[in-house]
Amino acid sequence: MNLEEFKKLTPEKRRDLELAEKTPNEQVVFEQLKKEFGIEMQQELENFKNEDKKIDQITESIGLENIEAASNVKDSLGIHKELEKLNDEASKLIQKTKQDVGNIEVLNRKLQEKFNDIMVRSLELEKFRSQINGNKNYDNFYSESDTATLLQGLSEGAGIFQKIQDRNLNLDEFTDLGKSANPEDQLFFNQMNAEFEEKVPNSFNFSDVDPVIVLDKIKNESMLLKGSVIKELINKQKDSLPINIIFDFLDKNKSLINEDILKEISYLMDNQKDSVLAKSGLPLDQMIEIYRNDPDFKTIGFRTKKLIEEQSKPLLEYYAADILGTSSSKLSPTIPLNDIPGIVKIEYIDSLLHTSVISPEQTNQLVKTFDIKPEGLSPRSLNFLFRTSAFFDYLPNAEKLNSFKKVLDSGIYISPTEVDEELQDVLKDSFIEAAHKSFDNGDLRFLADTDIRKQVLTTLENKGDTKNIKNIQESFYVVDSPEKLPEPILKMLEKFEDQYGSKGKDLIALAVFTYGMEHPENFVKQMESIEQVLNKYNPDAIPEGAKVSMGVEYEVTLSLANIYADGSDFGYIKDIEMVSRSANIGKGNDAVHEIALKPNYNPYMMLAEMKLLQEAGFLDLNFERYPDAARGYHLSLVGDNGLEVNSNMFFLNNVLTMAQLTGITAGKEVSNTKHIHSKSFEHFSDSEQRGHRCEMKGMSTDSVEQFEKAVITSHHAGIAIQVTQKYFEAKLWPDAQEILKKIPSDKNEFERAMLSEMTKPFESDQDRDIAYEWMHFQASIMKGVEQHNESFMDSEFNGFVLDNEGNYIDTGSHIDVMRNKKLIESSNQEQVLQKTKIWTNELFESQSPIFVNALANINNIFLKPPQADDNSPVNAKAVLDTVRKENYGGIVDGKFQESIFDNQGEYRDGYYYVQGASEEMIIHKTQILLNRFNKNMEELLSIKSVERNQDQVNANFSN
Amino acid sequence: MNYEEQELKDSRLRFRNHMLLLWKKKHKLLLLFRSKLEEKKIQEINQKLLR
Repeated sequence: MNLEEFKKLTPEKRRDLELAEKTPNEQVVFEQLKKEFGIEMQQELENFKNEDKKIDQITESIGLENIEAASNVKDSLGIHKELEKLNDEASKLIQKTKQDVGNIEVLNRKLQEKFNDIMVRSLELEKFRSQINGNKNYDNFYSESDTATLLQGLSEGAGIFQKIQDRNLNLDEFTDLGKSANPEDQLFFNQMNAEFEEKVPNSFNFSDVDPVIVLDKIKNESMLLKGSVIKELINKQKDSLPINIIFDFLDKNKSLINEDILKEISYLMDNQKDSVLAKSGLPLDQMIEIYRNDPDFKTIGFRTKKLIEEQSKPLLEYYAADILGTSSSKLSPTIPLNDIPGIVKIEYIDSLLHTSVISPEQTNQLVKTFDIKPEGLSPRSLNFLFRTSAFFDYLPNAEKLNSFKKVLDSGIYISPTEVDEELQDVLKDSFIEAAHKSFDNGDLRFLADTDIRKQVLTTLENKGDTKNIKNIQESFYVVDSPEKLPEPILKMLEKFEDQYGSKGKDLIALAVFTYGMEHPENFVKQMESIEQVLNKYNPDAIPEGAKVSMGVEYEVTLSLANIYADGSDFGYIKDIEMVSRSANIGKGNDAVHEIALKPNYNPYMMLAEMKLLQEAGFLDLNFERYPDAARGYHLSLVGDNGLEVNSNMFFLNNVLTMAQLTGITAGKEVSNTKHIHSKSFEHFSDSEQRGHRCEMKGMSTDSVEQFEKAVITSHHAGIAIQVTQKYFEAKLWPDAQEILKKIPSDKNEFERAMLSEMTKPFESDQDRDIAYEWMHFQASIMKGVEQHNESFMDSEFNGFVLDNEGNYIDTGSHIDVMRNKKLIESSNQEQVLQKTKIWTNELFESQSPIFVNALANINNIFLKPPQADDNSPVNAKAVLDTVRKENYGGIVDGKFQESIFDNQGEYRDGYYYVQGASEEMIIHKTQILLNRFNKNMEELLSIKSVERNQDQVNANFSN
Repeated sequence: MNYEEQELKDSRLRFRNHMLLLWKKKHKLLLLFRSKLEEKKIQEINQKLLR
């Protein structure tokens, strides 16, 4: 990277480069890890070679009498040679791996070199700066393009002003033309404005322009030679050198100095209280005269605001560090604090409050030492002090009132509840006004204050003309004034509140926004269909302590918000923030907006919220309305008894991916996967939560159907995992494998077969059945994967397969083997096997790219090329469109865009069909097994099972 | 985890997986050897019995 390239980087990019540089400590850690890995490999090689000794052990244990016969066997097998070959292979593998690891170091060094380059260039830049300071040769120092843009803008602007002047108008008179009744005047006004918009950039970058070129250019154009331009040129310079140049120029061109320039520059000087010249009242040419004769002028006399700030900063830091107890710079103050301009002090304190963690006591001390008075403070600083210190407590009431007014007038919202009661009434109008202003600025905190909210919403409703704002207002009726709701909706509200508590009320508020209340009968119909699905959740049927609460986070991207904004008065963020307030939907911190559904035990409640948000236009999980919206989401699970980020959770995550419920895996290989994070709890219920909040970060979807299936599966799994963990420790690979191998296919033998592994006997039949479902599901998937690794080629390309029990399964009569053979005829079979291999252990580990890529490679064989660069949504659609019934049954009716709310709580029962593949194909097989798991869990969690348990208890009693 | 550590972790995973394959091959070979020896042993015993 050279200097030019470096200069083109945005500040963020430059910072990233700096951050990417390794700290010495990280380097040590990496070296240590590398060393450990090296030792591990050597150890592994030794063990591997040692294994050869088993030949002698085996020979000895068999104990052939004819010793020669043993040698003959060895020779006929060429066993020593074969072993040698394997050992060789292992050695080479280690060499290769060491090389790979070495390359990591090389890469690191390359990065290092890049940074050195930047460092050297920065030094060159410094040298260059000092050179031009000495030689006054500043060619190329300034940005040519910025200079050109400025000149162009100035000259275009001047051209437009000239046209205005030609009509004998000054600027004020011109502005009045906009309100004129004469259409001709209006036309001129609009034309000039349009021309200005088009030709003059919104803002000029005065700090990087070459002042000499600018001055030289404008000196002959009276329209351009304006005091405001000169003032900007001087004030934006960060260095004294260009200021000298500007004054040099003015001195040489005294004839150019007009009233306007003099006024502006005097003003600039008057701002500097410690400027000798500003106090002198001398005319500008005399000031320049003095400036010319005094080489030290720039240090004792004229200084720009920027220079003052820069020179005062170390002093301010010194004083502040003293109070904050941080290590101070070596510089000792030569200027007393009082001599630093108040505005600079305030801005410094302000930035300090923004960027540092300062205790209220320290803030008070700072304010006292720096002698900050409320009238001198900006509204922003006042607000900071109000929130962070006891500053306001000691203000007399009148000053307090003025300070509050100043903050509110600036549009920073303060809630009435935060203000002393006796001031609340006086400030009444200011609160409302501040709420309006802060709404315009995108700060919607006022929504928390019922009275203010009511007034502001009413004004907004009159302003807006889309139905959105009306619906928002109405959705607040649910919270503020339910009596305003039409009778049927009110009844629905009472019913939902009664059945589902506050969550029921929230849902009605959301529904009022989504459906409006113009047609209450339609509203009721919609809610009844939702209610039917909500009631599928049956808390009484869940074993004690096994409840799961789930929450979803979905990031809204700019493209989505922009498309939405077309049909709304106030835009996406304001709309959703208002609705989130009335419907009590959480909000995260990422992206344009992050929808964070609050945790809930009833998974269908969450799905209902998503459905309503989707119908309201806030998102579209089918990606039809917002094709470029984010497809990923985060799903967090919390268990009453405790879920943890362990092999069970990893399995759930991986099996969802295998079943294509986190998106169709196809297309290019990925190099990264997202993991499950353990987060702190968000308390929402009285029950004690244990374990972790497990947040699955790698969730993604192409359709409502996949999303809903993933949520319901996670709900079932969360319950099943907790029940299972009551009796079985969550084990890591390969111990998990050993246990799962023992799971009998006959449910009735389960408890007996597992006795030695259990920490205690099952407490109920339901517990036993649920644990069986989970472990049997895991075992079946594990066996499925093993079979896939053994016989993927046979099942898909030869038409038969032997399953784990040695049963012959005919796939050839269901799939077109000849067609499939063509798909791989050009590929190397070994390679295909390697690329599609799924390492069984990875099912129980954090999701890895190798795992996901194997799935993508399997799909890629069957899905038609060419595959797009990314995971192509076209492929996804083709796969999602067709759901096939188990046992090579027919196509299931319905669409992937449909939700369970469209289908009385049912979703399509079958698997997403990858055309050409058999049911033994692992992606199909996983879906079939997952459907069975879900169905059995649903059965076990229906009221029937509870009754069954109750019957059993009764039976036990009567016995 | 930083970039280099992630790379190292990936290398380790690849190494581990590859070694697993080699182990499997070696064990298969040893098993084969064992079964051949056992065959011979049975032959020896049979011969002894015949005698």
